[in-house]
Order: sequence, then C-alpha cells, then structure tokens
Amino acid sequence: MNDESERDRQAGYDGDWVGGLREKMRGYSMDEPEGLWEEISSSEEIAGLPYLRKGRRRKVARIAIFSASAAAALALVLTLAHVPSEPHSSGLQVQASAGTDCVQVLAGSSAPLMAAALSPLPDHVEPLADPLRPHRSSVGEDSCLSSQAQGQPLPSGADGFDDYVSADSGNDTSAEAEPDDIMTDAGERDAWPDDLLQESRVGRRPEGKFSSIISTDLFFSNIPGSAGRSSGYESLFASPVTLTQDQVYKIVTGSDEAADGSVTLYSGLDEVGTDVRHRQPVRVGVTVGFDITPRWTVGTGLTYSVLATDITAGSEDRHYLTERRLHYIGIPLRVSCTLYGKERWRIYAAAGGMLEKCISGRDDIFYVVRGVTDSESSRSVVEKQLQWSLNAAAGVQFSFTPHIGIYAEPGLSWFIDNGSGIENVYKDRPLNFNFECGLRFSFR
Amino acid sequence: MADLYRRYAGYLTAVVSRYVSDRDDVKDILQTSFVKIFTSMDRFEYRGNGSVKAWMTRITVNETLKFLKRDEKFLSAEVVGIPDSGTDEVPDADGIPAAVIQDMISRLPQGYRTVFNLYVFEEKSHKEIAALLGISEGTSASQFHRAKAMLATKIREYRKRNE
Repeated sequence: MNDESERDRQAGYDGDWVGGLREKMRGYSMDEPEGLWEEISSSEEIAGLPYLRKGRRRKVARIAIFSASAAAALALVLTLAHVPSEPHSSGLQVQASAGTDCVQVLAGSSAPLMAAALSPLPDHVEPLADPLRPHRSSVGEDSCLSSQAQGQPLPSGADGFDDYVSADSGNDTSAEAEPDDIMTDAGERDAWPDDLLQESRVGRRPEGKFSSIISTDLFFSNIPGSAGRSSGYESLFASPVTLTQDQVYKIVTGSDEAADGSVTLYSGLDEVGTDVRHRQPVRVGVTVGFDITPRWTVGTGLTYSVLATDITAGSEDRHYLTERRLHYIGIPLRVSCTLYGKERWRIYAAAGGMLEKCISGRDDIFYVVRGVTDSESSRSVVEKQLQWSLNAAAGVQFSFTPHIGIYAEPGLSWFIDNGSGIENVYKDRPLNFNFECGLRFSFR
Repeated sequence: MADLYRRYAGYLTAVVSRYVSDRDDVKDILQTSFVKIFTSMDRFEYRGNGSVKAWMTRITVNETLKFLKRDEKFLSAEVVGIPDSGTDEVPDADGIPAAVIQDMISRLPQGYRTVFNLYVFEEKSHKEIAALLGISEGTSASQFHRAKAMLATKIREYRKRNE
C-alpha cells in the first residue's frame, strides 16, 4: 500500500474520532473565573476609552473633568432618577467611575446590529445587566442555565446558533473583526445583510462606539444683534431708556454747565434722535440629553445669557449713552430627531422651547458732552416677567471619540413678547436666527 | 453586552481552559478577549446563525495563542525527551463525559494540546497550525499524533478504572 492511500485512510480514520470528539465538546462550558465580569465591566476599554491608553487620557480627562464634571453629576443623578426600579428591564447599568468624570453604562447597550445578530435567541433569553445574577422564570431558562452551571454541555441547538465547527457552517467562521488576528482568513469581510445595513444607515444614530444614551452639551450660541435709529425730540421720550424731563431738557437746551464749568450753547442745528444698538447676545449652557429611542432624544439643561444694549439718546454733541446689561438664566426643553447617522457623523433636527428669567440687570448711564463724559450714574433693571421662546434648529455633530464630539446648530428662535417694557434684542427681533456650537459629551 | 457575556462566558472559559491550565491565566485571557469583543462589535459582520459564536471564539483563541506565544519555546521544549508512542490507537470518547475529556485534554503537555486543539476544535490543518505557531508541519503532525496517543491512553485507563 502506498503512502498516499495510507494517508487517506488515516485521514478518514482520524475524521471519525475527531468528529466525535468535536461533537462531544460542542457547547461544553465551564464556570467562568470568579470576578471576571466585574473586571471586564470596569475596564476602561469597555467605556470606549482605548485612546486613553495611548497617552491622551490625562489631556482628555482634564478637559472633561473641567468642563463636564457638573454635567456628569447631573446626568448621573437624573439618570438614576429615571432608571426603572428594575434596571434589568432595560439592560442598562450606569456606574460612575471613581476618580474619573465618566459615566459608564456597563451593560445592555450592545450595538443594535449585534442585537440583531442575537435576534435568533430563544424568547426566554432576556438581557441581564448583571450576567452573574441568577436567572428567573421559565423552564427553558432553567434548563439552559443549569446545564451551564453544572459544567455540562448545552443541549444541541439550545442557543439557537449553529456551531461554527460544524461541517456545513464553514462560511460562518469567516466573520472576523481583528485585523491583526493570528487566525484571520483572507477575503472574510463581506457586508451586513442588506436590511441591517439599511437600518444602520438611515434615520438612526451612529451605531456601535458612537452611539450614546446620555449626552451633555457645553455650548456657546448667539443671535445677530440689531441696530435702529429714530429721530426727533419725541424719540427722546420714547427712548428704550426713558429719559427724565430734565435730561431731555438738558439735551435740548444745553442749559447745563459743561464739565469745564462753561455754559454750552444750544445748538438747534444738531440732529436729535435715539440710536439703539443691540449687541450680539451671548449664551452659554449645559444641557443633558436622554436617548428615549435610538432616534429621538429629549434634552434639558441650564443656560446663561447676557444681553447687551447700547442706547444713545440726544445729539452728537450731547447725549446720554446707556449701556444696558441683562443677565438671564434659562431652562431649555427640546426634542431632537436623528435624520442621518453614520459612524462619527450625525445630522439631526431639533425643536423646543425655553423659559428664561432675568436674574440681574443694570443700566450704566453716561451723559456725554462733546465727547467728554460729564456725569455718570447707574441703576438696576428689574424684569419680573418670564421670557418664553420657541426654537427650531438643524444640527450636525462630529464625534472625535465615542465620548467627545463637536456640533453646530443653526436655528430659528421666536421670542414671545412678555410685555415687560424692558428693551432688549428679544423684543427688537422676536424672530431671529441663532447659531449654537459646542462640545457634546456622550455616555453609554 | 451582559447578555452576550452570560451566554458565552462558560463556553469560552472551556475553550481557553483547553489551552491554558492556570486559572488566573484563563481569567486574564478571557478578560482581554471579552474587552476586545465588546470594543469590536461595530466591526463584527453578521453572517447568520453561528457567526457570533464563531467570531467570539476566534478572538478568544487568538488571544490565547498570543498568550502562549509569549513563551516561544513552549512547543519545542516539550518535544524533546518524549518518544513517539508509535501506536495508532485513537481516542474514542464515546461514553466518556465531556468534563472528563476536557480534563484529559487540559492535562496534555502544553505544546501537544495546543496543536491538538487547533486541529480538532478549530479545524486547522497542520500547514495552518505550523504557520500559526511558527513550527514546521512535521512538528505539528508529530505533536498531534503524540497528543492523540496520550489521550487515547488516558481514555483507555479511564475506562479500565470505571469498568
């Protein structure tokens, strides 16, 4: 008998016992090492921070700690308040990592595509945030788990998956994600099934590392300023900063003494009027968003706005310059919808409203004669009425890392007249464009 | 993630334990593997039933081999001094509990069981095993046959004890 036929015979002979052994050990499981899950779930990599191991942790952490610690704490509190009493029902487990600013969602937020891959699981399999927690209910579960717990092989097909070592599942073994894997086969990277691919591309947040459950925004926004002028003596009385009769008289007659003690002359030729210039309002804030679905996010937070208005009433030679500063604290509430999301990019639309309260206001008034400040005074401005506004925006977000991204949102705001009589840009331009940009911190 | 872990932790523990005896090492490998699995989810390509398990197993075996290859001489060192049994006896596992087989395999010499596991459970050819481990095909085949013979002997002895 030649060597070749002997080898064939041996191969066939090996195949019998190898196949039998393979079949016997198929699905065989053992108790996992104690504390394994705790170590896995507490690892930084799971929180999506592999880049931190490359020396960027300190830098990123500094930024995050400085700017988002308060937001993270707020997010944590709010999250804990909103997590259902049975956390396993959502599969979400939130943990604040000691010494870091991160809120880590440790479990239950598997990528939807992975979830889709798991869809063939039997109905009795429920997501558990803590896999070590004893399973409950159905007989099917008990039988499955008990066999695992006792170190016995799972019943064939119990997990709903074909075993990858089976002779007819050779294609299955080609799914791989490790570029540097020892066992990577050539030509393994095919596409997802079309339906899953479509789901990931259209109308959803980016999946995988760049999806999020909670997001915190640190933003800056402003709306265009405005300017206007009204002429004539009556404009002095109708000025946004109401002048007293004496002040108007001083402007009109020039009967006061100038700073140098000389008596100025009335200049009837001077054009008298009121200029109002609303500077671009500046708004900063922190908001927290909660993903109520992969597509819809509800957000709220806290904003601080400064409105500055310069009002010049009088003539060029003599006028009152009033610098008004109004400080507002606002609470926005809005809903955003992801229109497109892929990997690092997300395009969305948002709409909502905001309630603002003027917490402080001040007028610094300067009486200026021929460019020289003759006198100055100040007074506080109180606006008791609340300021409501509605806004709509479209935004684009780019994520540098799974946790940090930037976004830009052009939008349109409508400030509802609150009838206060305090002149500001909200009243001058009730309908106005605004632009917001900022950092967005996302937590899973 | 938790669901995935709960579902496959036991199975992957058994896979790693066939290659590595030390329980702490098994834990380290599993931890590294699961972290890699969870952080690579977005790169996983679903190919139907079985692909998740195959993918996770592949990553885990890769990590196991990486761990083993840190000791570059783990294979060759054990070949020396262990004569080829020269027997064609095959390890007939019929009727032997899987846990017993698992234990027997895990007690094989390191190099033997690595080749044995890759050949039997990962369905690698000796050519592929040689490439994976950086050994010759002949060494792979030799170690496999010795592992097979040792396992057959262990099974025979087990049967004798339990007759």
